[in-house]
Amino acid sequence: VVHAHARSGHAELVWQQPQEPVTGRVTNEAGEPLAGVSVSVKGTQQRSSTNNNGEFQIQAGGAADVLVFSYVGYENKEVSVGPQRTVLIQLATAETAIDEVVVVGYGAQSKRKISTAVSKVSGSSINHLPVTTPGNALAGMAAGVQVQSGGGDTPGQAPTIRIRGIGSLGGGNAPLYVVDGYPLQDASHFSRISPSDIESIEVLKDAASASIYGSRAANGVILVTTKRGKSGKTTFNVNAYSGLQQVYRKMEMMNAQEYLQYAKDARNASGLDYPDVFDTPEQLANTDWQDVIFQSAPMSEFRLQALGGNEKVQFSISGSYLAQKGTLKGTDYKLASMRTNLDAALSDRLKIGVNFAPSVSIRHQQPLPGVSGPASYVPVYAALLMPPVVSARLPNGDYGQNNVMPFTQYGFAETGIHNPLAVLELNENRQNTLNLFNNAYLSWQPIDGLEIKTQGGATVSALTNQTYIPSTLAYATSPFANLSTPSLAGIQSQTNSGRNIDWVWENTATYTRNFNDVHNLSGLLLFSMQKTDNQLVASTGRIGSFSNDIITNPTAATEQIGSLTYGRSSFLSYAARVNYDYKDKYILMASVRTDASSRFGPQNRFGVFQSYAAAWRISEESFMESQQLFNELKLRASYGETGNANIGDNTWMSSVIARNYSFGDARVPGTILQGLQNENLTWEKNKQVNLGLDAAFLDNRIYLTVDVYRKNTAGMLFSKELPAIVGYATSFYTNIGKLQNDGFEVDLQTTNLEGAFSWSTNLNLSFNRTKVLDLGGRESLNALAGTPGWPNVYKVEVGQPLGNMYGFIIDGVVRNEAQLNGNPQWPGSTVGSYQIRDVDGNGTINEGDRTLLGNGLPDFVYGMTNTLAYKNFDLSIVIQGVLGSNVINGASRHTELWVGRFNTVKGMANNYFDPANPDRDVKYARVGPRTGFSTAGELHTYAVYNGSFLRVRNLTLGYNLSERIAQKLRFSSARIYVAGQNLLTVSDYPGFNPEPSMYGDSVYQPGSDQGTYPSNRSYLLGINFGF
Amino acid sequence: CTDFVDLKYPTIVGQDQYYNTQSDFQAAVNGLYASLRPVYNDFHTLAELPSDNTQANDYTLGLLSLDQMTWLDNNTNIQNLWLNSYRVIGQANTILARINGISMDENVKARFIAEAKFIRALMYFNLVRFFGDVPLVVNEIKTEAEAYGYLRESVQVVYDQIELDLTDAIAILPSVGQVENDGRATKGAAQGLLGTVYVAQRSFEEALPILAELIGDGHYKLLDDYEALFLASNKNNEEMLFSIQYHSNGNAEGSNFSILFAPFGSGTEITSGGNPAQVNEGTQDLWDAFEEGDARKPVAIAKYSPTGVYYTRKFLDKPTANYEASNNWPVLRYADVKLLYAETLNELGRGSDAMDELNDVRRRADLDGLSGLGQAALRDAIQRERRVELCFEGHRWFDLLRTGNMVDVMSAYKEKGVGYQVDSYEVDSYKVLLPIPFRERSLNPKLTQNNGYE
Repeated sequence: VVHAHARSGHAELVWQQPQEPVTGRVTNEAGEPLAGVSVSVKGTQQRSSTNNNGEFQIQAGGAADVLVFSYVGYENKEVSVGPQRTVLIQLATAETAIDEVVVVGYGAQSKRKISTAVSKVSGSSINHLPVTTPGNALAGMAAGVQVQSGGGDTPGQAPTIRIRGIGSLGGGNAPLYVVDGYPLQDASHFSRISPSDIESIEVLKDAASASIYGSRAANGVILVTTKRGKSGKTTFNVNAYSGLQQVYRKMEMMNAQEYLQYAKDARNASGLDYPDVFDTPEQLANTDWQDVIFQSAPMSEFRLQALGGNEKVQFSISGSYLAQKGTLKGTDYKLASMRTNLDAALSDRLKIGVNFAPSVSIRHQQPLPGVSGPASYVPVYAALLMPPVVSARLPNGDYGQNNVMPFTQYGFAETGIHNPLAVLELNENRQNTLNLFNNAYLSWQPIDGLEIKTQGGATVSALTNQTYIPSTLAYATSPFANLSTPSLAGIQSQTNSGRNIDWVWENTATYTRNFNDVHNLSGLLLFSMQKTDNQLVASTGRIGSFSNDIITNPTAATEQIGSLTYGRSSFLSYAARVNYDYKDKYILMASVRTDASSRFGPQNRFGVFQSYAAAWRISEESFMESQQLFNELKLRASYGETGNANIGDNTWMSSVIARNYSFGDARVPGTILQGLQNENLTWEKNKQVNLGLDAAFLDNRIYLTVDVYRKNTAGMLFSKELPAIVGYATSFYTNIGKLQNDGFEVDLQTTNLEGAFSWSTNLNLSFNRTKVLDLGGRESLNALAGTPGWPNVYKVEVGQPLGNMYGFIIDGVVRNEAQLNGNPQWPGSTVGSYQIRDVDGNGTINEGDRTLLGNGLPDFVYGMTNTLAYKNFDLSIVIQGVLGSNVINGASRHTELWVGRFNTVKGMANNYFDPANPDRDVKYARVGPRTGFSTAGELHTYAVYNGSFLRVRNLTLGYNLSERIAQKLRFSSARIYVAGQNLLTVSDYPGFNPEPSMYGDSVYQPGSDQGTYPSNRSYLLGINFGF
Repeated sequence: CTDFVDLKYPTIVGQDQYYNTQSDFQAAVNGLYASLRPVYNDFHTLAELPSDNTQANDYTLGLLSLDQMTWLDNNTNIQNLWLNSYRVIGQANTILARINGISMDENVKARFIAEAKFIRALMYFNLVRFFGDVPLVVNEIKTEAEAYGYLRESVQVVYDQIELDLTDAIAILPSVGQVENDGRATKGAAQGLLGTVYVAQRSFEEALPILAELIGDGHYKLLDDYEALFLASNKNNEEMLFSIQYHSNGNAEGSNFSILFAPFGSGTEITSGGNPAQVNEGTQDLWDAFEEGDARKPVAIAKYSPTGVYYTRKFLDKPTANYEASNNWPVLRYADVKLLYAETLNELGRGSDAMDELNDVRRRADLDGLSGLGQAALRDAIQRERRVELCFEGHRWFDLLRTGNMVDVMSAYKEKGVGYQVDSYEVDSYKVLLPIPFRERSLNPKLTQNNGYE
């Protein structure tokens, strides 16, 4: 914006005050010139604004005249002219929500002028949070953003983040992360940013804001801006905290006495004798296996940051070290990371900058659903199932097992259940990761208002994963291995090394100009190329060929098996955008992007994505001048298109893969054809309409944002099932079907109290409903399992929301012959079986009686942050939760069963059908031999819980040393704080985590739990000082 | 600039680059054999478990319903059988559709075609016996739309195709003698299969010459030692017409029967450990079916004394991991052929010739030969012999279906009341056919369902 001189329209005032104009320069806190700052003389009509160098001149009167400087995103400043008639002004960044600058794709805008749906989370609200990944810090912070830790508090695990529901059934649903302008192809680079380094996170929610990222923006875009240096005195900031984590909740399982009674009843019911020892439980162990596998785990982090620079060069350098032990033994995470941001002005018109952020991490994992390893030895699960009468450790140091005498004789042997402590102590799964994030730019302003910028970057990650099962660990292959009875035949070892290299080159030209002081116009052109290349090399020792137990890598095997996989993809993009506003009042935006990607069929590689947005700032209208209520009132409307490219690299191809055979014992190479080729495979397109309202009331103390949207996904990237008769493919990737997301979001920021006691609240609420509109001609997809063993649970059906869970309704227990014969029964039922409801009323119980039992996706997601301060104390409370979801307790397949082989929930003790007393009110069917409906074989009402929860996610109480004392200690500021994470979770679900997902971020099978990692509660103490 | 988005993938062989040379087709035919493994890995769950020979356990879900004949159309094993069988057929069709016009040794080409037809026929024979009418696909399906163009064809049409394929195969395939018996399809295997196909249709007149020729050729014989038949060290012996080849080489290309069939808790006593899964447990009824002194019995069925569970010793091996055992799965062996021949002769009124064939099999088992039986008695004797001779090898259920005895035999078995939860058996005549899998019908609602399942 160029306004070099006072305009001639003010000439009539000039002669009244025939003095030299006042001149000066306006900069920001970093010393950078601010262009377009409005300058006026208080109480007069005199106005001017700054040029590109921040310089201005204005006609002013005497030395007592007051100049007012105002600029979007900055605090207003008033300065007396003084005698020298030259002023140097530094403007401070504005605090009020309405004046914020919001980072948008390839640029930044005043929040006033935003016409799309963008949520901003400022760094200050997350910098202090003791979280291991920035994703966790986003939970409950922004409307429309759901953060789910389906894997509990697994150390180092990034949560699943979804923006405005689920847009794709076949492509991924993760948003695009853009860090300092770099669109990440590997989201792990986002997870490694220290929350302290974050200046702000902007979430581009509607398609109009995200569309400038085209083919990868369908699931929204998360823009991360890291802190950059400021000119002036170098400041150091140290933040360190340390604390303890505990498992938030244990499951209520039977103790030895209850378990033996139950086992006895099961035996009796089968007509079997039981060992005498069942009557004397004290002779056997009474192990609480959950206590055995869980621990109080320390966690600490140290962060150091230095910011500074001069007018030419600014820097920000930070380093952090995080060490987290897991509450599940044998798991931990350590992360050391660094970030260097440098900016330098080579001349008034030439700037360069570099970001460089290396990090290394080490992570120890244990078998979990989703982590490789046989499901049966998932320790969290095994700890629930292992009979309490088995000891964790034996006198000779061995691990107690249930598959040896005397437990085999008692009938407690169960294939696949092994001592979970042995797994946690002996199994090794270590992952070392090195990540490098590099980004550099050169920016040139050939003429005022035009910026040409070229930006190049590369991200590199190198990963080594070493897994080892020693000879002493009992599992499927060597079920009797123990410390004193090692078995070389059971050793397994694998080493994987992967590297992922991605580079991007982006070039933009931005032109900004004001015409006649009323028309503001800016335009953007973009050309971008990006390419990813990854490679994974794996070496496995052949099981059974290990010669020793001394070294743990595959070279201990006489035979090693190698494998090699590659992945590659590339994107080529062009884009343009125009922003226009008339007097800040009527705002228009339009953009278009064309992308081509290797991921799609050669016939259909190019996609065009356009967007339009408009806003009307009613509060700027003259008829609003007289009202006092609104400081801001803006209506927004937008439409945009985005694409989804989150599918594998070559899913369109049909290929020939190896399937070797042997004739006699001579192995021969064989091949089979796999996959139906689809050369037309292309983008999944998302079209989204968004209507929004921004309003600030009561002197900006209340800021309300409301958005309503409809997002239609069409031509979904979708793995469509094929009839099996095709032979070489049972599904193929194609573009079919439609999905709709409707939702509304409310974001309310209030300043409740100001002054000595201050209190502000940020409340957000999001409603989203995903509905399936079309499945390419089919009415439903083939149902998927609820957990392994519960088939046909999750159904995707036209006209229905995603995440529906189907199963059978248990109407209590069949109490007598009359009931047995008088009602339709599950095949094989007897008295004492479960009575299953004949939902379709056809007189038989069969698949047709499967009915809707719940839905794994929430209707509402909400969050509330309260920030309070009184004198030197500050308190912040983050509350977060979901409403309207259901959770499947998959563990109950075994922990609420009929056989006395697995440990069982406490609630089942003395709560099952007793043939001697058939009318007693009991929940569970008879124990002993299975008859009729098996709760292990089909999902049923007992296993489905309300998944709504409310969680006090973070509570931090800080005490700031007074400035006087701090300075005595040579600090500029000093703060000590205590924090509690997850102090309270209100939930009906009895499991370890109220938002579990054993299938990771699957949109087909949400809300299923079977041995997932628990969520933690933690208490931390920290200090924070600057100097 | 579009080159930038046209990438080559270093580890992927596109189908357009393949199926051009003799070696491509050699590998494709090898792969076709390899795709038989998934079919036979679980074949016992449908070909033995529903019968009176074996029973399921409490814990392996889905299997109890197969044992008790309470299966539903969503049963995983039924679905997998369908899927894996058509997967083999699809590979065979791809080879047959693409091999013409490729320049290569014409004799080799002819043999590849014959092998593909043999394997395709074997799969359709299984399908037609389990499901009755099935979609008959003999071309490579190239588009999604084509896949919906196939509906169920009548049993007769399917059998016609099977007979056509096998007749073609017999004309081309070499005999054992001309080539080593290494597990590839041979003329004898195709003859034996065609004979079985005719017997299954009770077309004894047509079965007779085929079986007579096969036996007359003298390429096969009954091994003296019944146990040696099944040894992993004695694969493709003179009694084996066709078996699925398994090979322990650390790449899960072996079989898993030894671990799957071993009783719970047997640990390393019987096999090498793993998780003995007891998924195909012998019944008391089968144990009792062996005559006194039957030399086959200790091999065919044994009792695990700690739990009293019966298991077979036909697939004994000590693999280092799951799917690393070397036991083959016998699909067709000479004793089976002899007994089918005996049955054919008996049905055609040649009882004494039939008895000779039957007695050959009995004498190998150290049992006395039978004599003087009438047609009906001999019919029963042959079926009894088949039951004990071929138990655990995936024949019993088909024999019950073929002879029309399923309902009688299974009802009688249930009546005896001995066996795991036999009270819960639901023996119905419609269960001679399995339901068409739920998945297939939900994809293509035009596929009809078998009687009794809707």
